[in-house]
Amino acid sequence: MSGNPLDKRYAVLGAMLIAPTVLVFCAVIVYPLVSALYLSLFTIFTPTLRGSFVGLGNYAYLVNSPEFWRSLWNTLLWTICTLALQIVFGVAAALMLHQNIVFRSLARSLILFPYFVSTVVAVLVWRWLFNDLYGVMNHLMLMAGLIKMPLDWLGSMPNAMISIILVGAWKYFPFVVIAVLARLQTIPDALYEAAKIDGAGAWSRFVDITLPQLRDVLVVVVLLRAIWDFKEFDLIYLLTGGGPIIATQTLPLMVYKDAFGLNDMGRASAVAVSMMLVMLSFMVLYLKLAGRDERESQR
Amino acid sequence: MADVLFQKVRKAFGSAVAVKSLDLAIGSGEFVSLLGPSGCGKTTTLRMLAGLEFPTEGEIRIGDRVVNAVPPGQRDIAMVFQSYALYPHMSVAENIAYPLKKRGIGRAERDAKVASVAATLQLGALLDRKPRQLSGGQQQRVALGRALVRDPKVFLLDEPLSNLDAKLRAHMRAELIELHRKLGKTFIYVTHDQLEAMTMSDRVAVMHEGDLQQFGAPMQVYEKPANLFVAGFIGSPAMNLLAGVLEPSGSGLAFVRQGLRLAVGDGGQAGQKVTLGVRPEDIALGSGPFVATVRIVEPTGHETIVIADIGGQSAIVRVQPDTAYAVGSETPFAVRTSRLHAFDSVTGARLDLAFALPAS
Repeated sequence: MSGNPLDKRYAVLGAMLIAPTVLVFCAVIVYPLVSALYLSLFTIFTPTLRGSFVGLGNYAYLVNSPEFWRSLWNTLLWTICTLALQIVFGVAAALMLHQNIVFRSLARSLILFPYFVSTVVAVLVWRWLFNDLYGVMNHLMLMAGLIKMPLDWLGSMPNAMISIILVGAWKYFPFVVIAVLARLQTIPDALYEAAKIDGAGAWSRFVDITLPQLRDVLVVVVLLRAIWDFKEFDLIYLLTGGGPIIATQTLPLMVYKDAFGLNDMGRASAVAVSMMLVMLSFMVLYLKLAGRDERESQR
Repeated sequence: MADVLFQKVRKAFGSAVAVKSLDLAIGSGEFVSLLGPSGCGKTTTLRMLAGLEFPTEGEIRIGDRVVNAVPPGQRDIAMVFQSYALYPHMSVAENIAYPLKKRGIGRAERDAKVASVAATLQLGALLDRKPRQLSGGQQQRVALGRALVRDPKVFLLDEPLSNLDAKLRAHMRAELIELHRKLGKTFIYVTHDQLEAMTMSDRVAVMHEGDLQQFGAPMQVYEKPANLFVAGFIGSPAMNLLAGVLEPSGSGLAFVRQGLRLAVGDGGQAGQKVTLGVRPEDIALGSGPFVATVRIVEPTGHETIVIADIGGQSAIVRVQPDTAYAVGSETPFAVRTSRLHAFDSVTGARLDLAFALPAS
């Protein structure tokens, strides 16, 4: 930079404009992060927040804890399955809503409904639908002859896992619809017309034009939804509470149980930190893959 | 034999009629321009031929086949879009190869054809690039390449030069003419730019408000415009249109308006309202029986445009740049009577009248 006094004043102004963001970032991100790392090195009784230093003891315990590995596996299974369903149904619904169908604007608003409904309300409705004594699901499936005996949707495995995955997909696929629909509307019609003239059928036009055009938005959507699904707490907690036993317990539920059920804030922090590490490694891997594709497509 | 035939083709979008009742026969290997202002139906006509719109009524033939219900990919046509419509995620080579790929042509043959088209259009060095890494002119070439590679019966071009700067446009114009000559295929070219239509086409179809106004060779359209619309639309600067009336004069008739009186040889009726069409180059300033007042002088270098007041109406005159005209001065002028056009002011139709300067 030159010695121009105006440049210096702009530099000071710039720093001042960034400062609030940096401060807020430190207060809400850096401090809790550091504090979680710090707490995870102690055995802490939650009600008094007193305890003793145990070093990496909490982590050693987790490595040898089948419950931790089971919860990690549950988290990954839930995240991958529910995310896959969200993407498939989200893209399909967006494609449908992009067509000139009757009641298009009404359908567009209605499809967002699951996303707007509060999780508690949605889960109560689903628990009612899934109920093994008077639930509508069992009633309908019995009537259709699909099952001979009522199913225990939430209290046995693998039904409970399947149920939370389905409800998760139902609740969050509208997010994918919004993002994909917005992108679909910006794809120029001329591309489809050119492809028609070039002899591409409907499926070819989808694969050769729509999907590549959706790539960028899908990268972002997958990234965001993966983070959010990995951290999902309320939906699972309210639907199954992690049960039966710990069959649907994901890492966020384990954090909650350790911190407030077992009153061990230190171990809960260790689980939370491990969660962060898992997520971090997946994000790095994912962004690398996405970035590589992007570079390849730009070459 | 006609390669492309429109028979009583009509296209309506709801209550808006884009093409009224089009009859057009385009010969094999011809370069035809559809020319007209925006909203005249030229693009709709092209899109119906491409299969992107379907005619409300009438029949479209390509070769000896009625194509009304044939999907675009099976019509043996290729189209170049105004926006080029290159597939953004595909390389230049993939873009050009795409129509071949969709027709199940094998890799080796595809590569050979892409290479040959790339050589024709000098795209060889760009084959691995993505469209966004290319300049407008290069993208234009790729779009042409994608059309060429399939060797279709008919090429459709929708204002392909309108996104290029003036210099590149002139260059691409010449290249397209060259290309058409080399391929010998039928080209149908939509444009609102009369310069493009005039310079490139074998025949020009002038359209206005969904109607075909005139279909003929460029010079024919220029020298014998079929009606007032074509007269006013073709030519730059535009033809001067001077409204007047036919009056009895001696044994015959005379065209009379303020500041102008011409003897009419034959044809026409006394009292008929007639619009006289005079091209800017057909007014000779300096001597003659009439008087004009010079309003504006616009030298452009190779010629000078003078805007002069003739009997209360401004008229554009094209003069040699070596004569100076003072703004505000009065100057005598004559018109080249053999090159005048006459139209019925009411119907707009061309009248075949012979004019003569008044005996002085």
